[in-house]
Amino acid sequence: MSRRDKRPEDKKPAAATGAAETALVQGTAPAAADTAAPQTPSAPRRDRREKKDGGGLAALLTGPERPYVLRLTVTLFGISAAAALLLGIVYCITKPVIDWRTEEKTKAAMAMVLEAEEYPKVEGLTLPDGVTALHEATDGGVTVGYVCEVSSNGFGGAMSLVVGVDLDGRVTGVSVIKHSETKNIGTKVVMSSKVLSRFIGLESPVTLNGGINRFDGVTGATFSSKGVTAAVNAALTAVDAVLS
Amino acid sequence: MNVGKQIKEGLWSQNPVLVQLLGMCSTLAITTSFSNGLGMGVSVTIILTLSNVIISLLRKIIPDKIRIAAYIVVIATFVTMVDLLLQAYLPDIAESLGVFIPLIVVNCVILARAEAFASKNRVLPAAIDGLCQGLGYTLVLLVMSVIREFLGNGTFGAGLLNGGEGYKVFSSDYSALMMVMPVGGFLTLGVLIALMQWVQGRSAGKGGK
Repeated sequence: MSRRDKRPEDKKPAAATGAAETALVQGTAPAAADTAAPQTPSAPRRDRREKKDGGGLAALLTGPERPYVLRLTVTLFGISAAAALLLGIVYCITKPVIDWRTEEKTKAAMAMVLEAEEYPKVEGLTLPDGVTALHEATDGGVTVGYVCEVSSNGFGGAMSLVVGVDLDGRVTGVSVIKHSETKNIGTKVVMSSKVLSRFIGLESPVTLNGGINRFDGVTGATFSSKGVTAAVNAALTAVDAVLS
Repeated sequence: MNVGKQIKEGLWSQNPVLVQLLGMCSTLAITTSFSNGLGMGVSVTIILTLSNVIISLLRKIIPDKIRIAAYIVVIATFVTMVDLLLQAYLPDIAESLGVFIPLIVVNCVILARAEAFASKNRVLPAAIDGLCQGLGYTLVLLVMSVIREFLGNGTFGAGLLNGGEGYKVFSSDYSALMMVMPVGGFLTLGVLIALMQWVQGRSAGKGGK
Protein backbone atom coordinates (compact mmCIF):
# COMPACT_ATOMS: atom_id res chain seq x y z
CA MET A 1 0.00 0.00 0.00
CA SER A 2 1.23 3.49 -0.75
CA ARG A 3 1.91 5.89 2.04
CA ARG A 4 -0.84 8.11 0.72
CA ASP A 5 -3.48 5.75 2.07
CA LYS A 6 -2.27 5.90 5.63
CA ARG A 7 -4.20 8.94 6.63
CA PRO A 8 -4.86 9.70 10.27
CA GLU A 9 -8.61 9.02 9.91
CA ASP A 10 -7.83 5.50 8.71
CA LYS A 11 -6.09 4.55 11.89
CA LYS A 12 -9.21 3.63 13.79
CA PRO A 13 -10.56 0.98 11.42
CA ALA A 14 -7.08 -0.36 10.95
CA ALA A 15 -6.86 -1.01 14.67
CA ALA A 16 -10.26 -2.65 14.58
CA THR A 17 -9.32 -5.00 11.77
CA GLY A 18 -6.13 -5.86 13.59
CA ALA A 19 -8.13 -6.91 16.62
CA ALA A 20 -10.46 -8.98 14.49
CA GLU A 21 -7.56 -10.68 12.84
CA THR A 22 -6.09 -11.82 16.13
CA ALA A 23 -9.53 -13.05 17.12
CA LEU A 24 -9.65 -15.09 13.94
CA VAL A 25 -6.17 -16.47 14.41
CA GLN A 26 -6.89 -17.48 17.97
CA GLY A 27 -9.88 -19.40 16.67
CA THR A 28 -12.40 -17.64 18.86
CA ALA A 29 -15.87 -17.70 17.40
CA PRO A 30 -16.19 -16.13 13.94
CA ALA A 31 -19.06 -14.12 15.38
CA ALA A 32 -16.40 -12.02 17.08
CA ALA A 33 -15.04 -11.15 13.67
CA ASP A 34 -18.48 -10.05 12.58
CA THR A 35 -18.95 -7.63 15.42
CA ALA A 36 -15.42 -6.38 15.01
CA ALA A 37 -16.27 -4.97 11.60
CA PRO A 38 -17.95 -1.79 12.74
CA GLN A 39 -19.42 0.88 10.55
CA THR A 40 -16.68 3.44 10.93
CA PRO A 41 -16.92 7.09 9.99
CA SER A 42 -14.50 6.44 7.16
CA ALA A 43 -16.89 4.01 5.46
CA PRO A 44 -18.25 6.55 2.96
CA ARG A 45 -14.69 7.49 2.09
CA ARG A 46 -14.09 4.00 0.81
CA ASP A 47 -15.97 4.62 -2.42
CA ARG A 48 -13.67 7.42 -3.36
CA ARG A 49 -10.60 5.45 -2.53
CA GLU A 50 -11.81 2.48 -4.58
CA LYS A 51 -11.75 4.63 -7.67
CA LYS A 52 -8.27 5.86 -6.88
CA ASP A 53 -6.95 2.33 -6.46
CA GLY A 54 -8.60 1.30 -9.67
CA GLY A 55 -10.35 -1.74 -8.20
CA GLY A 56 -12.63 -2.93 -5.44
CA LEU A 57 -10.43 -5.85 -4.41
CA ALA A 58 -7.68 -3.74 -2.88
CA ALA A 59 -10.28 -1.74 -0.99
CA LEU A 60 -11.87 -4.94 0.31
CA LEU A 61 -8.57 -6.20 1.59
CA THR A 62 -7.65 -2.97 3.33
CA GLY A 63 -11.05 -1.53 4.20
CA PRO A 64 -13.17 -2.15 7.27
CA GLU A 65 -14.70 -5.26 5.69
CA ARG A 66 -11.39 -7.03 5.74
CA PRO A 67 -12.17 -9.49 8.57
CA TYR A 68 -15.40 -10.51 6.87
CA VAL A 69 -13.70 -11.03 3.53
CA LEU A 70 -10.95 -13.01 5.22
CA ARG A 71 -13.54 -15.14 6.95
CA LEU A 72 -15.27 -15.92 3.65
CA THR A 73 -11.97 -16.89 2.09
CA VAL A 74 -10.79 -19.00 5.00
CA THR A 75 -14.13 -20.82 5.35
CA LEU A 76 -14.42 -21.68 1.68
CA PHE A 77 -10.77 -22.66 1.56
CA GLY A 78 -11.22 -24.92 4.58
CA ILE A 79 -14.26 -26.66 3.11
CA SER A 80 -12.57 -27.11 -0.26
CA ALA A 81 -9.39 -28.42 1.35
CA ALA A 82 -11.33 -30.99 3.38
CA ALA A 83 -13.24 -31.98 0.23
CA ALA A 84 -10.01 -32.35 -1.73
CA LEU A 85 -8.48 -34.54 0.96
CA LEU A 86 -11.54 -36.79 1.05
CA LEU A 87 -11.66 -37.07 -2.73
CA GLY A 88 -7.97 -37.86 -2.85
CA ILE A 89 -8.46 -40.77 -0.48
CA VAL A 90 -11.44 -42.17 -2.40
CA TYR A 91 -9.59 -41.73 -5.71
CA CYS A 92 -6.58 -43.65 -4.41
CA ILE A 93 -8.80 -46.50 -3.24
CA THR A 94 -10.88 -46.78 -6.41
CA LYS A 95 -8.26 -46.07 -9.08
CA PRO A 96 -6.62 -49.51 -9.13
CA VAL A 97 -10.04 -51.19 -9.27
CA ILE A 98 -11.25 -48.97 -12.12
CA ASP A 99 -7.99 -49.43 -14.05
CA TRP A 100 -8.17 -53.17 -13.58
CA ARG A 101 -11.75 -53.23 -14.89
CA THR A 102 -10.89 -51.17 -17.96
CA GLU A 103 -7.95 -53.44 -18.71
CA GLU A 104 -10.06 -56.57 -18.36
CA LYS A 105 -12.66 -55.13 -20.66
CA THR A 106 -10.10 -54.17 -23.29
CA LYS A 107 -8.53 -57.64 -23.08
CA ALA A 108 -11.90 -59.32 -23.52
CA ALA A 109 -12.64 -57.10 -26.51
CA MET A 110 -9.23 -57.89 -28.04
CA ALA A 111 -9.87 -61.60 -27.70
CA MET A 112 -13.16 -61.05 -29.48
CA VAL A 113 -11.75 -59.25 -32.52
CA LEU A 114 -8.62 -61.35 -32.99
CA GLU A 115 -7.94 -64.50 -31.01
CA ALA A 116 -4.37 -64.85 -29.75
CA GLU A 117 -2.43 -65.80 -26.64
CA GLU A 118 -0.82 -62.50 -25.87
CA TYR A 119 -1.20 -58.89 -26.89
CA PRO A 120 2.10 -57.08 -26.24
CA LYS A 121 1.91 -53.36 -26.90
CA VAL A 122 4.05 -52.02 -29.74
CA GLU A 123 5.94 -48.94 -28.55
CA GLY A 124 7.72 -46.16 -30.36
CA LEU A 125 5.35 -45.75 -33.29
CA THR A 126 3.89 -42.57 -34.68
CA LEU A 127 0.23 -43.52 -34.79
CA PRO A 128 -2.36 -41.79 -36.98
CA ASP A 129 -5.02 -39.58 -35.40
CA GLY A 130 -7.49 -41.52 -33.29
CA VAL A 131 -5.36 -44.61 -32.71
CA THR A 132 -4.39 -44.62 -29.04
CA ALA A 133 -2.44 -47.89 -28.91
CA LEU A 134 -1.31 -50.67 -31.20
CA HIS A 135 -0.87 -54.22 -29.92
CA GLU A 136 0.76 -57.15 -31.62
CA ALA A 137 -1.31 -60.31 -31.39
CA THR A 138 0.98 -63.29 -30.87
CA ASP A 139 0.17 -66.97 -30.70
CA GLY A 140 3.06 -69.06 -29.37
CA GLY A 141 5.51 -66.27 -30.22
CA VAL A 142 4.29 -65.97 -33.82
CA THR A 143 2.63 -62.74 -34.87
CA VAL A 144 -0.85 -63.43 -36.18
CA GLY A 145 -2.05 -59.86 -36.54
CA TYR A 146 -2.46 -56.51 -34.87
CA VAL A 147 -5.08 -55.03 -32.58
CA CYS A 148 -5.62 -51.27 -32.37
CA GLU A 149 -7.30 -49.28 -29.65
CA VAL A 150 -9.04 -46.44 -31.42
CA SER A 151 -11.09 -43.49 -30.26
CA SER A 152 -13.59 -41.89 -32.60
CA ASN A 153 -16.59 -39.59 -32.58
CA GLY A 154 -20.14 -40.80 -32.97
CA PHE A 155 -23.39 -38.91 -32.59
CA GLY A 156 -23.32 -38.73 -28.80
CA GLY A 157 -19.63 -37.96 -28.37
CA ALA A 158 -16.45 -39.95 -28.09
CA MET A 159 -16.41 -43.72 -28.37
CA SER A 160 -13.56 -46.14 -27.98
CA LEU A 161 -13.20 -49.23 -30.07
CA VAL A 162 -10.89 -52.17 -30.59
CA VAL A 163 -10.13 -53.19 -34.16
CA GLY A 164 -8.35 -56.39 -35.14
CA VAL A 165 -6.35 -56.54 -38.38
CA ASP A 166 -4.63 -59.62 -39.83
CA LEU A 167 -1.23 -59.71 -41.59
CA ASP A 168 -2.86 -59.10 -44.99
CA GLY A 169 -4.28 -55.82 -43.72
CA ARG A 170 -7.84 -57.13 -43.52
CA VAL A 171 -10.20 -56.44 -40.65
CA THR A 172 -10.77 -59.47 -38.41
CA GLY A 173 -13.26 -57.87 -36.08
CA VAL A 174 -14.51 -54.68 -34.50
CA SER A 175 -15.71 -54.21 -30.93
CA VAL A 176 -16.99 -51.08 -29.23
CA ILE A 177 -15.81 -50.72 -25.62
CA LYS A 178 -17.31 -47.40 -24.67
CA HIS A 179 -19.85 -45.19 -26.41
CA SER A 180 -22.62 -42.72 -25.74
CA GLU A 181 -24.86 -43.26 -28.75
CA THR A 182 -28.62 -42.85 -28.68
CA LYS A 183 -30.44 -45.89 -27.38
CA ASN A 184 -32.19 -47.90 -30.11
CA ILE A 185 -30.70 -45.71 -32.88
CA GLY A 186 -26.92 -45.42 -32.61
CA THR A 187 -26.78 -48.60 -30.57
CA LYS A 188 -28.05 -50.47 -33.65
CA VAL A 189 -24.53 -49.95 -34.98
CA VAL A 190 -22.23 -49.93 -31.97
CA MET A 191 -23.95 -52.62 -29.90
CA SER A 192 -24.83 -55.01 -32.73
CA SER A 193 -22.23 -57.67 -33.40
CA LYS A 194 -24.16 -58.47 -36.57
CA VAL A 195 -23.61 -54.99 -38.00
CA LEU A 196 -20.03 -54.74 -36.78
CA SER A 197 -19.22 -58.12 -38.34
CA ARG A 198 -19.85 -56.54 -41.77
CA PHE A 199 -16.37 -55.02 -41.42
CA ILE A 200 -14.67 -58.42 -41.36
CA GLY A 201 -12.48 -59.00 -44.42
CA LEU A 202 -12.48 -55.38 -45.60
CA GLU A 203 -9.25 -53.62 -46.61
CA SER A 204 -8.16 -50.01 -46.40
CA PRO A 205 -9.78 -47.68 -47.33
CA VAL A 206 -13.20 -48.71 -46.11
CA THR A 207 -16.00 -46.55 -47.51
CA LEU A 208 -19.49 -46.11 -46.14
CA ASN A 209 -22.37 -47.37 -48.30
CA GLY A 210 -20.34 -47.64 -51.51
CA GLY A 211 -17.04 -48.45 -53.16
CA ILE A 212 -15.08 -51.70 -53.27
CA ASN A 213 -14.48 -52.04 -49.53
CA ARG A 214 -18.02 -51.22 -48.70
CA PHE A 215 -19.49 -51.07 -45.22
CA ASP A 216 -23.27 -50.88 -45.19
CA GLY A 217 -24.26 -48.61 -42.35
CA VAL A 218 -27.57 -48.45 -40.57
CA THR A 219 -30.28 -46.12 -41.85
CA GLY A 220 -31.00 -43.36 -39.36
CA ALA A 221 -27.70 -43.91 -37.58
CA THR A 222 -25.43 -42.21 -40.11
CA PHE A 223 -23.23 -40.48 -37.56
CA SER A 224 -22.64 -43.67 -35.59
CA SER A 225 -21.89 -45.57 -38.81
CA LYS A 226 -19.48 -42.84 -39.91
CA GLY A 227 -17.75 -42.83 -36.54
CA VAL A 228 -17.14 -46.57 -36.59
CA THR A 229 -15.96 -46.45 -40.22
CA ALA A 230 -13.50 -43.67 -39.39
CA ALA A 231 -12.15 -45.71 -36.49
CA VAL A 232 -11.66 -48.79 -38.67
CA ASN A 233 -9.85 -46.73 -41.30
CA ALA A 234 -7.56 -45.22 -38.68
CA ALA A 235 -6.70 -48.70 -37.42
CA LEU A 236 -6.08 -49.98 -40.96
CA THR A 237 -3.79 -47.03 -41.69
CA ALA A 238 -1.81 -47.69 -38.52
CA VAL A 239 -1.41 -51.41 -39.24
CA ASP A 240 -0.55 -50.81 -42.91
CA ALA A 241 2.26 -48.53 -41.76
CA VAL A 242 3.60 -51.29 -39.52
CA LEU A 243 3.27 -53.97 -42.22
CA SER A 244 5.02 -52.05 -44.97
CA MET B 1 -39.14 -33.20 15.65
CA ASN B 2 -41.98 -35.06 14.03
CA VAL B 3 -40.46 -37.96 12.14
CA GLY B 4 -43.81 -39.27 10.91
CA LYS B 5 -44.62 -35.93 9.34
CA GLN B 6 -41.23 -35.83 7.62
CA ILE B 7 -41.74 -39.30 6.17
CA LYS B 8 -45.21 -38.39 4.91
CA GLU B 9 -43.94 -35.17 3.37
CA GLY B 10 -41.02 -36.85 1.63
CA LEU B 11 -42.99 -39.75 0.21
CA TRP B 12 -46.28 -38.06 -0.53
CA SER B 13 -47.46 -34.56 0.33
CA GLN B 14 -44.14 -32.80 -0.41
CA ASN B 15 -42.76 -35.41 -2.79
CA PRO B 16 -39.67 -33.91 -4.45
CA VAL B 17 -40.65 -35.00 -7.95
CA LEU B 18 -44.44 -35.02 -8.02
CA VAL B 19 -45.11 -31.96 -5.86
CA GLN B 20 -41.95 -29.86 -5.70
CA LEU B 21 -41.14 -30.75 -9.34
CA LEU B 22 -37.42 -30.87 -8.61
CA GLY B 23 -34.78 -32.96 -10.35
CA MET B 24 -36.79 -33.24 -13.56
CA CYS B 25 -33.79 -33.72 -15.84
CA SER B 26 -32.60 -36.97 -14.32
CA THR B 27 -36.15 -38.14 -13.67
CA LEU B 28 -37.10 -37.86 -17.34
CA ALA B 29 -33.82 -39.09 -18.73
CA ILE B 30 -32.88 -42.21 -16.81
CA THR B 31 -36.18 -43.88 -15.94
CA THR B 32 -35.95 -46.30 -18.85
CA SER B 33 -35.21 -49.44 -16.88
CA PHE B 34 -35.72 -50.73 -13.37
CA SER B 35 -32.00 -50.94 -12.57
CA ASN B 36 -31.41 -47.36 -13.77
CA GLY B 37 -34.21 -46.02 -11.60
CA LEU B 38 -33.01 -47.94 -8.57
CA GLY B 39 -29.34 -46.99 -9.09
CA MET B 40 -30.12 -43.32 -9.56
CA GLY B 41 -32.59 -43.23 -6.66
CA VAL B 42 -30.21 -44.88 -4.22
CA SER B 43 -27.29 -42.68 -5.34
CA VAL B 44 -29.32 -39.51 -4.87
CA THR B 45 -30.63 -40.69 -1.49
CA ILE B 46 -27.11 -41.37 -0.22
CA ILE B 47 -25.72 -38.08 -1.50
CA LEU B 48 -28.73 -36.13 -0.24
CA THR B 49 -28.51 -37.59 3.25
CA LEU B 50 -24.75 -37.10 3.56
CA SER B 51 -24.76 -33.56 2.20
CA ASN B 52 -27.73 -32.65 4.43
CA VAL B 53 -25.78 -33.89 7.47
CA ILE B 54 -22.60 -32.00 6.57
CA ILE B 55 -24.42 -28.80 5.66
CA SER B 56 -26.41 -28.96 8.87
CA LEU B 57 -23.19 -29.40 10.84
CA LEU B 58 -21.56 -26.46 9.07
CA ARG B 59 -24.63 -24.22 9.07
CA LYS B 60 -23.21 -21.88 11.71
CA ILE B 61 -19.73 -21.73 10.19
CA ILE B 62 -20.69 -21.02 6.59
CA PRO B 63 -21.20 -17.26 6.06
CA ASP B 64 -24.41 -16.34 4.28
CA LYS B 65 -22.70 -14.77 1.28
CA ILE B 66 -20.86 -17.88 0.17
CA ARG B 67 -23.36 -20.50 1.26
CA ILE B 68 -24.28 -21.65 -2.27
CA ALA B 69 -20.63 -22.07 -3.19
CA ALA B 70 -19.99 -24.00 0.01
CA TYR B 71 -23.03 -26.24 -0.57
CA ILE B 72 -21.94 -26.99 -4.12
CA VAL B 73 -18.46 -27.98 -2.92
CA VAL B 74 -19.95 -30.32 -0.32
CA ILE B 75 -22.44 -31.84 -2.79
CA ALA B 76 -19.86 -32.17 -5.56
CA THR B 77 -17.52 -34.00 -3.21
CA PHE B 78 -20.10 -36.63 -2.36
CA VAL B 79 -21.21 -36.95 -5.98
CA THR B 80 -17.64 -37.55 -7.16
CA MET B 81 -17.12 -40.08 -4.39
CA VAL B 82 -20.27 -41.98 -5.35
CA ASP B 83 -19.30 -41.75 -9.03
CA LEU B 84 -15.85 -43.25 -8.40
CA LEU B 85 -17.24 -45.96 -6.13
CA LEU B 86 -19.90 -46.91 -8.69
CA GLN B 87 -17.31 -47.10 -11.47
CA ALA B 88 -15.14 -49.32 -9.31
CA TYR B 89 -17.69 -51.65 -7.78
CA LEU B 90 -20.89 -51.41 -9.85
CA PRO B 91 -19.58 -50.72 -13.37
CA ASP B 92 -22.78 -51.81 -15.13
CA ILE B 93 -24.91 -49.25 -13.33
CA ALA B 94 -22.22 -46.60 -13.74
CA GLU B 95 -22.22 -47.24 -17.46
CA SER B 96 -25.98 -47.17 -17.96
CA LEU B 97 -26.42 -44.01 -15.87
CA GLY B 98 -23.44 -42.42 -17.61
CA VAL B 99 -23.28 -38.68 -17.34
CA PHE B 100 -26.29 -38.44 -15.04
CA ILE B 101 -24.26 -39.44 -11.99
CA PRO B 102 -21.88 -36.44 -12.26
CA LEU B 103 -24.94 -34.33 -13.04
CA ILE B 104 -26.37 -35.05 -9.57
CA VAL B 105 -24.20 -32.09 -8.50
CA VAL B 106 -26.72 -29.76 -10.09
CA ASN B 107 -29.76 -31.87 -9.22
CA CYS B 108 -32.00 -29.30 -7.61
CA VAL B 109 -33.50 -31.77 -5.11
CA ILE B 110 -30.22 -31.73 -3.22
CA LEU B 111 -29.53 -28.01 -3.40
CA ALA B 112 -33.14 -27.22 -2.53
CA ARG B 113 -33.09 -29.42 0.57
CA ALA B 114 -29.74 -27.98 1.63
CA GLU B 115 -31.04 -24.44 1.29
CA ALA B 116 -34.56 -24.97 2.59
CA PHE B 117 -34.03 -27.49 5.34
CA ALA B 118 -30.51 -28.58 6.26
CA SER B 119 -29.17 -25.05 6.66
CA LYS B 120 -31.90 -24.25 9.20
CA ASN B 121 -32.16 -27.44 11.23
CA ARG B 122 -30.12 -29.64 13.54
CA VAL B 123 -28.24 -32.69 12.29
CA LEU B 124 -30.72 -35.46 13.08
CA PRO B 125 -33.78 -33.83 11.49
CA ALA B 126 -31.62 -32.90 8.49
CA ALA B 127 -30.48 -36.51 8.08
CA ILE B 128 -34.06 -37.78 8.33
CA ASP B 129 -35.17 -35.15 5.84
CA GLY B 130 -32.49 -36.22 3.38
CA LEU B 131 -33.45 -39.86 3.76
CA CYS B 132 -37.20 -39.22 3.37
CA GLN B 133 -36.88 -36.87 0.41
CA GLY B 134 -34.43 -39.29 -1.19
CA LEU B 135 -36.81 -42.19 -0.70
CA GLY B 136 -39.65 -40.14 -2.18
CA TYR B 137 -37.48 -39.42 -5.20
CA THR B 138 -36.48 -43.09 -5.50
CA LEU B 139 -40.10 -44.22 -5.23
CA VAL B 140 -41.26 -42.02 -8.11
CA LEU B 141 -38.25 -43.04 -10.20
CA LEU B 142 -39.06 -46.71 -9.64
CA VAL B 143 -42.73 -46.29 -10.52
CA MET B 144 -41.81 -44.40 -13.69
CA SER B 145 -39.12 -46.92 -14.65
CA VAL B 146 -41.43 -49.88 -14.22
CA ILE B 147 -44.16 -48.26 -16.33
CA ARG B 148 -41.82 -47.08 -19.09
CA GLU B 149 -39.81 -50.28 -19.24
CA PHE B 150 -42.95 -52.41 -19.37
CA LEU B 151 -44.65 -50.41 -22.11
CA GLY B 152 -41.52 -49.55 -24.07
CA ASN B 153 -39.58 -52.78 -23.84
CA GLY B 154 -42.03 -55.40 -22.65
CA THR B 155 -39.83 -56.42 -19.72
CA PHE B 156 -39.73 -56.07 -15.97
CA GLY B 157 -36.53 -55.55 -14.00
CA ALA B 158 -34.07 -55.51 -16.93
CA GLY B 159 -30.45 -55.17 -15.89
CA LEU B 160 -31.11 -56.45 -12.40
CA LEU B 161 -33.47 -59.41 -12.04
CA ASN B 162 -33.23 -62.80 -13.72
CA GLY B 163 -29.49 -62.53 -14.35
CA GLY B 164 -29.71 -59.08 -15.93
CA GLU B 165 -32.18 -60.18 -18.60
CA GLY B 166 -35.31 -59.19 -16.72
CA TYR B 167 -38.63 -60.98 -17.06
CA LYS B 168 -40.09 -60.81 -20.52
CA VAL B 169 -43.78 -60.05 -20.30
CA PHE B 170 -44.41 -59.66 -24.02
CA SER B 171 -42.22 -59.52 -27.10
CA SER B 172 -40.44 -56.25 -27.74
CA ASP B 173 -41.87 -56.42 -31.29
CA TYR B 174 -45.15 -55.18 -29.85
CA SER B 175 -43.74 -52.61 -27.46
CA ALA B 176 -44.09 -48.85 -27.87
CA LEU B 177 -40.51 -47.70 -28.34
CA MET B 178 -41.76 -44.16 -27.76
CA MET B 179 -42.12 -44.92 -24.06
CA VAL B 180 -38.39 -45.32 -23.48
CA MET B 181 -37.68 -42.18 -25.51
CA PRO B 182 -37.88 -38.73 -23.84
CA VAL B 183 -41.51 -38.38 -24.99
CA GLY B 184 -42.49 -41.34 -22.87
CA GLY B 185 -40.84 -39.74 -19.87
CA PHE B 186 -42.92 -36.60 -20.16
CA LEU B 187 -46.12 -38.59 -20.71
CA THR B 188 -45.53 -40.87 -17.73
CA LEU B 189 -44.60 -38.02 -15.44
CA GLY B 190 -47.62 -35.97 -16.51
CA VAL B 191 -49.99 -38.86 -15.90
CA LEU B 192 -48.42 -39.57 -12.49
CA ILE B 193 -48.70 -35.94 -11.38
CA ALA B 194 -52.31 -35.78 -12.56
CA LEU B 195 -53.09 -39.02 -10.77
CA MET B 196 -51.57 -37.75 -7.55
CA GLN B 197 -53.47 -34.47 -7.72
CA TRP B 198 -56.68 -36.40 -8.31
CA VAL B 199 -56.13 -38.67 -5.30
CA GLN B 200 -55.18 -35.71 -3.12
CA GLY B 201 -58.21 -33.77 -4.26
CA ARG B 202 -60.48 -36.70 -3.49
CA SER B 203 -59.07 -37.25 -0.04
CA ALA B 204 -59.45 -33.55 0.69
CA GLY B 205 -63.08 -33.79 -0.37
CA LYS B 206 -62.63 -31.07 -2.96
CA GLY B 207 -62.13 -32.75 -6.35
CA GLY B 208 -63.28 -36.00 -7.91
CA LYS B 209 -66.85 -37.24 -7.79
